[in-house]
Parts: sequence; C-alpha cells; structure tokens
Amino acid sequence: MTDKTILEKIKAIVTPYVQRKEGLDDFNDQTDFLTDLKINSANLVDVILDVEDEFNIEIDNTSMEGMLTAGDAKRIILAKIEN
Amino acid sequence: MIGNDIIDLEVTISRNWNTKRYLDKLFDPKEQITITDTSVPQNTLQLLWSLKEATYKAHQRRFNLPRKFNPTDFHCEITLEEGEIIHGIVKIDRQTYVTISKITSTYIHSIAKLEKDQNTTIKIFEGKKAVQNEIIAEFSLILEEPIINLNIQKNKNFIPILYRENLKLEHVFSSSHHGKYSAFVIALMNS
Repeated sequence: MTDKTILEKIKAIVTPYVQRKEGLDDFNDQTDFLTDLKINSANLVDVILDVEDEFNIEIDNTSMEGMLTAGDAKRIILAKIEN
Repeated sequence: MIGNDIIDLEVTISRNWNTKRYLDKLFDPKEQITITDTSVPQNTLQLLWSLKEATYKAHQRRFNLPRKFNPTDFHCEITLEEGEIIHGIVKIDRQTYVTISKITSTYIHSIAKLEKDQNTTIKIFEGKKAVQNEIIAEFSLILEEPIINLNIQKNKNFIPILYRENLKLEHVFSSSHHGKYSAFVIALMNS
C-alpha cells in the first residue's frame, strides 16, 4: 500500500467526524485532526476504531497518544501493517 | 490551576459507546463499572469523559505539556452526588485534581481544579458565540483594562494565553465548546 493510498483512506475515515470541512481541501501529512479539521476529541476514538477496522490492525493506547495529524496516523498504520 | 469541559447532550454520542473496544480506549476497568452500573450509562460515560477533558486542560496548562491523546492516563472517581452537582477527583501522574460538574437535561459542564478552594468565574453560553471574545470581555472587567488592549494567543502547545498588548499575562483560564454550547472558567485571586 502506498503512502498516498493510506492517506486517502485516512481522509475517507475522518470525513464523517470533521466539523471544519475546508480543512479537508488540502489534506496532507500535516493536517491536524483537532486544529485543522476540528474533530471533537471524543470522536478521535471513533477515528481510531475505524482505522483499526479498515487496516485490520490494533492500535494500542500508547500509539493512540500520538495520533494527532494525518501523518501521525499514516506512520502508525505503516508500522503496524509491516509487522 | 483549572480546566473545564462542556458537553451538549443533544449531540449524538458515538455509535461505538457500548462496545468494549471503545470503552477500553477511554476508561479503566473501574471507570467502566461506574458507567455500566448506572441507570443512565450514556450520561455517566459523558460525565467521566468531561472530567478527563477538564483535567487534561488543567494539567496540560500547569506543566505546558505538548498535546497527547491519553485518556486512560486520567483516572476518575465520583465522590459525591448532590442533585445536579457532582463532585469527583481525577488522578494523573501522581497528581490529584478535584472536579465539580453540573448536569442538566441538556448539558454537562465540568471544571477541574488543583486547589480545592480556588475561586472561579464560570460562564456557559448557548448558541453561536465567540467564546474568546467573551473571555476577553470578562478579563477586561477583572483587570480594569480596555478590551482593545487584551488578546489571546495560543502557545506552541496550543494552550491559550492572555496578553495585554505584547505582555504575556499569567492568568489562568480555560474554554470549551461542544454542539450549541460554549463555556469558560477563569481562576480568580483568592481573597
């Protein structure tokens, strides 16, 4: 799976929770789930569960701590699917 | 040190709320029992979540911590229920914060304080309001300073800081927004 495919999948996963839709226009590694997309912090868990289902991986609470941007999510997914 | 969190109860709770994998990412086993043992598990879940959020903000500001999504590091306990007012404590990194929450039929508002006797000003707004402007207006009264001289900027850890012109002030405050509600709390000097 390429970086670009992963990023596109992450974008599709977060979209239902985004409260600032214009934040999706230029979706890249730096896109911040909280400040750019205004995802409610309670919904971050939903994003993480959807990522687990989509990529068939388990994100432990330590990895979850650092999932604040699309790039963070991509790195965590890449590390898990390579194992 | 203080923090606060507001939850609009009309905003739909996560569809995953009653699954073990959802609860395991947010709550420790004891907290999960607190949630499932009540007649209103959804409200209790949101109450405990608001305690963690309010405490996160107080703790983050106190130590100027980088952002982290670590809800299971915060351990909450309800200590006393007096009608719509709920008292609790939250522990994080060997620190203990006390919490006071108000639950109405439409919202939950929680504040977390390091010092139990800390005096505060709390405001809750319904409808679209720029909470930052409301905080500045309140500080304008407290500091007897024209609104135009005050502004709020976020630091590198996204913690809002009050400035008088270019001077950074040490005043402690916290804002929150959810659904149609906004809220803020300001720490006042104890007399």
